[in-house]
Amino acid sequence: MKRLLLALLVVALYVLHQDFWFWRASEPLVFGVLPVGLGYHVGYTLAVSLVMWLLVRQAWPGHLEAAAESQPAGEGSAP
Amino acid sequence: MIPALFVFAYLAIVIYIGIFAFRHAGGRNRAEDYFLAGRALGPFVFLLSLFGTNMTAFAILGSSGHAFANGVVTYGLMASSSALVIPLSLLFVGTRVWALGKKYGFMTPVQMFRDRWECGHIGTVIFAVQAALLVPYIVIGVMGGGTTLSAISGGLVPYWFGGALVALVVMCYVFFGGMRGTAWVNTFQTLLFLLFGAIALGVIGEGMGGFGRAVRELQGSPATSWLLTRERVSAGFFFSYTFIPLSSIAFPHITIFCLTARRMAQFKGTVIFYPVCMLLIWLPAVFLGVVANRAAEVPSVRAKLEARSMLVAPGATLTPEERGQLRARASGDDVMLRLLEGYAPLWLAGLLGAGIMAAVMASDSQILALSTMFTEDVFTYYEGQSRFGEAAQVHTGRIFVIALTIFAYVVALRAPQSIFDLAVQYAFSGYAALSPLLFAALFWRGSTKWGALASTLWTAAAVLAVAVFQSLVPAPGVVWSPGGVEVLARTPGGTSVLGLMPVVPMTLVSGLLMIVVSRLTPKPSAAAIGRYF
Repeated sequence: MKRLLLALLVVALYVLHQDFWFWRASEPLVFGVLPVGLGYHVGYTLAVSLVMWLLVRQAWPGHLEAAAESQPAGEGSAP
Repeated sequence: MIPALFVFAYLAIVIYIGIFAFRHAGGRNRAEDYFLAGRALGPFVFLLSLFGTNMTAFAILGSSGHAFANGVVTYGLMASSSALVIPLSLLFVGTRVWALGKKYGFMTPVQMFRDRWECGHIGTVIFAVQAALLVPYIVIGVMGGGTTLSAISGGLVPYWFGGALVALVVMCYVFFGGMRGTAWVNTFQTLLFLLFGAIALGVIGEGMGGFGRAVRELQGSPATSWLLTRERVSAGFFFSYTFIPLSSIAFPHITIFCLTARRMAQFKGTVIFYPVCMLLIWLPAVFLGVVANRAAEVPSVRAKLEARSMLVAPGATLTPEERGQLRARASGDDVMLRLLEGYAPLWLAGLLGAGIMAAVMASDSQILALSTMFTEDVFTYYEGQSRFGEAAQVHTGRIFVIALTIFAYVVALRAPQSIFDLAVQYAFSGYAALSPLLFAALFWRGSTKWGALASTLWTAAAVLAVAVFQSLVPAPGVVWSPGGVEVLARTPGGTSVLGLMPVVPMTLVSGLLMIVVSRLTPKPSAAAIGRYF
């Protein structure tokens, strides 16, 4: 269930990137400088960072590290 | 010339860092030490160097130039989509690549593919396509170096000399320092650019009388108000761009860089802070590119705006040569430097120019990656190491660094296209189409070497087809529209397939081929699959 929710969150972020609702607008200016479409994507970038924090906390593939660390570096032979 | 002196001083520091890294390695000639920094990079260097590796001349000069011509859409097209896709790919693909590299000693993606799919020569085909697609990216670095030094010195340093100098400096520190030197230099460069980017924003803003005023003026004029919206970009085009960042993890220099972390936990900070770094670099670059449209008091910017006006003037009858000349004059690749020239004091312009130089010189990682690939995937694979020993492996890598740099320089002198177009149309689209190889190798038991071969050959053919199509068909024009549906068209920016950029069908067909061909062909042995799942 947790995985499904996290996957949905990522899909939602992808959809939110296609912000057709600010397509033709430049007003209002965010902080008096950034056109609203650009301001939206700045906020979007920060939101992505927060979601990444959540993913790192909830979906970190720790088993990979344990498996890799159980052997000395480069134990296998590269073909 | 004073600004150029600052840049020369910067270049000297960068060489010193490379040589310092060489001394740090104690002159050892171990391949893993030279090519992967002994798999021992710490978290701070890992984040900033990985980020710096992705930020090339394309990101800085190309994005400002693109924003100068196309407006705020540039940020949404590349920055915010990359801020989502790149950390995700690092979290789910990069960590797996790191773990497998640590466990089995891989140093390149092709080594992993050969092991995963039990293939030999198909691996060599993948190497060849990867190498062919990486070269344009390396050329960008040389072109950016030439453009930057020439602009900073006010034309006193010619383009050919600037490009040669940058190529030589990069070659030196990659030659001596290997991955450790490259990572340290990238970290230094990223810090420098983050710092100077903020200063540039403040200085230019003050020089223009405040950004708020500049934006209001842009809004007030019908000729420029569209730059603050996305009204001239189709939704299909905007959507297409979200496929481009898939290229990042498929670029061999990024895949290889994932192997350099000391511990997997170092990915955590990188995944979380990557979007913030994107914001800090891209927002100033894009914003300055847009407001440059109100910087007509700077003569060199005014000349660009006049050239653009002549290009779009109604009823203008221009020969193809005249059109080409006007396009070159209107190109915004050096617009950030022109703003500095117009608004920053001379000494500060030099310092800031060094900061821009820092971003431009990120081709080092690509050169090292190609050298690593050649040494490991070709020289070592075809028994070079067993015949000549490990030291010869590192010497081969170093010789390849020299040969590749010279080649990239010669191409850069002849390449006519703008930095942005060159990067997106060839390297980025091609690597995005190769990304299904990584996903299939790491996440799908049923994938086979024949599926990988089909995807690789499709990518090579598609990139070639797009390049030939664009060189033969003049823009704009609809080439194929059965039943009134516009299937294939030549646009001023490149090619359109069903209203999308070629990267979309290229990537989807590549993934489809991987699935269909893998289902029809024999699987690798259970032992090979067992090592991965």
